Amino acid sequence: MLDLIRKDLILNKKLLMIFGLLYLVYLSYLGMQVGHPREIVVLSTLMCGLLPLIQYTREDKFKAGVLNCSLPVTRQETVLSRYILTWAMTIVMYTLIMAVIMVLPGRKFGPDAVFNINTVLFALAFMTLYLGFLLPLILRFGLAGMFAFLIVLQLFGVATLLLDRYKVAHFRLSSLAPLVKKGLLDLRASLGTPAYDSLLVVLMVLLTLASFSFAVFLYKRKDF
Amino acid sequence: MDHALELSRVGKRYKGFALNDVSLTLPAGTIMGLVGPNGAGKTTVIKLILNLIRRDGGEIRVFGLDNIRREAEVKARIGFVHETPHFIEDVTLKDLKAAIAPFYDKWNEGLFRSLASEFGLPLDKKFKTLSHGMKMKFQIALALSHEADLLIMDEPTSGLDPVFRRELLERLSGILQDERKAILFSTHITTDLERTADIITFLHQGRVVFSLPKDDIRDRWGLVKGSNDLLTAETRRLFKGLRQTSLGFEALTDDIPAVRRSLDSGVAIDRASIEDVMVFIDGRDAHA
Repeated sequence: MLDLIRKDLILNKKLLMIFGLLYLVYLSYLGMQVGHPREIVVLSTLMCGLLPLIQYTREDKFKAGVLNCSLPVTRQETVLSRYILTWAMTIVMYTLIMAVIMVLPGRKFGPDAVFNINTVLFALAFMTLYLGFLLPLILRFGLAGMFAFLIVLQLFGVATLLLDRYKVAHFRLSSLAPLVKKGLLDLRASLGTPAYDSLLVVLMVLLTLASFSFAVFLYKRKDF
Repeated sequence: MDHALELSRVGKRYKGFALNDVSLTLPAGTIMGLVGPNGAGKTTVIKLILNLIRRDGGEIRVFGLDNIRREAEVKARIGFVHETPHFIEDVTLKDLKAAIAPFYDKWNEGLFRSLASEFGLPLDKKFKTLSHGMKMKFQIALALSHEADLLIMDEPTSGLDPVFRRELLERLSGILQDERKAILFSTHITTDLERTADIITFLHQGRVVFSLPKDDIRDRWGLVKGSNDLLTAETRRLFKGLRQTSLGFEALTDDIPAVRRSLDSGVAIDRASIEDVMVFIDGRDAHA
């Protein structure tokens, strides 16, 4: 397992260092500009999650998956190593960016705004959803999987707009967010904060396990 | 005798191509040459052994272990050379080696350095800057450096200069000083097989035409030349491939004694080379 993680880091070290530095500078700068912490949290989560994924699309570009599958490891171990590496890199990068923003002058919010349990859970939930859907597709289909994911999201958005515009169904994504938020707040009110937070963590773990199982299922069926 | 590799009724279906009931056995201490025209299924067989593609049926055992259920153990004992080297290209050879070596318990760093020096590999250069021949040499150095028990090589000599090709073939023969080891390699260059292989497996249109010791082929397979009036429905059955011109026929047989009995002195029989076998089986009943 460690050999697989080390291999991915060695083969992508330059790319990770260059992109990591760029993300750090860019997101730290943005962190000083935006007024609401949620904006930088969402953007940082998105970009930090993208960083480890780039290396897997590189493997697809060079058709280097053959090498991976000729090494003495199982495909399940390969997928597991990539989930661990992706999550570790995303969390480390995200934490680093937030820490750098906090020491920069001119920021518009303090450490309490991003290093509290609600914001951390929000960031983790966002990562879970984002990586949970994207990772299996990238590992199985490479770049095409990433594009397919983005295209499906776009088509979903367009479909909801059209359905709403032609009055086939009243379904606006913009109205969905407040509904979800209200539902979560109601749930927290009824369960109490500790139980609600624990439930959220359990759900994130379950979603990640489901995503991992699906990724293994897909990757085992990949022909090189 | 222990078997390094056993394929039993292995199948794989693609749109427009199917590998059907491929069975072969590679005993330890031998070199098997996998030969056949383009699209015969050689690379597919090799990919199936390494579980790079999923098989639709059959069984594959490497040193008695199922290649899927015991995948990691099996692959630890295999040194693999792909026909087209696929690595992340903008990485130096040194880094590629550093990424791959830890996977193998038997990695021999001294051997790798000695091979790298012998092959003239520039370890500080990026993989993408190498010629195809050098890329193949790098792959070969990696495959040999973990002291694999089974070497599987898909067209390892393609893109190599004749001097290195011969050196490689000699090195492969040398590896079999250890009789627990075995080598399977596919090639189009039939002279490589004549020089090195103990067993020749001929694939054609996804089927094994034969898998025989090289000496058996030498003894049993022949090129028969004679006049067209000798060709009857009965004599044609003796041939695996036939070429006819207005001057006479040339045919391939896998049963020289039977041809001698049926046609006696009316024909000339020469030993068939592996290339003859390939050409005739690929173009059965060709009429020039």
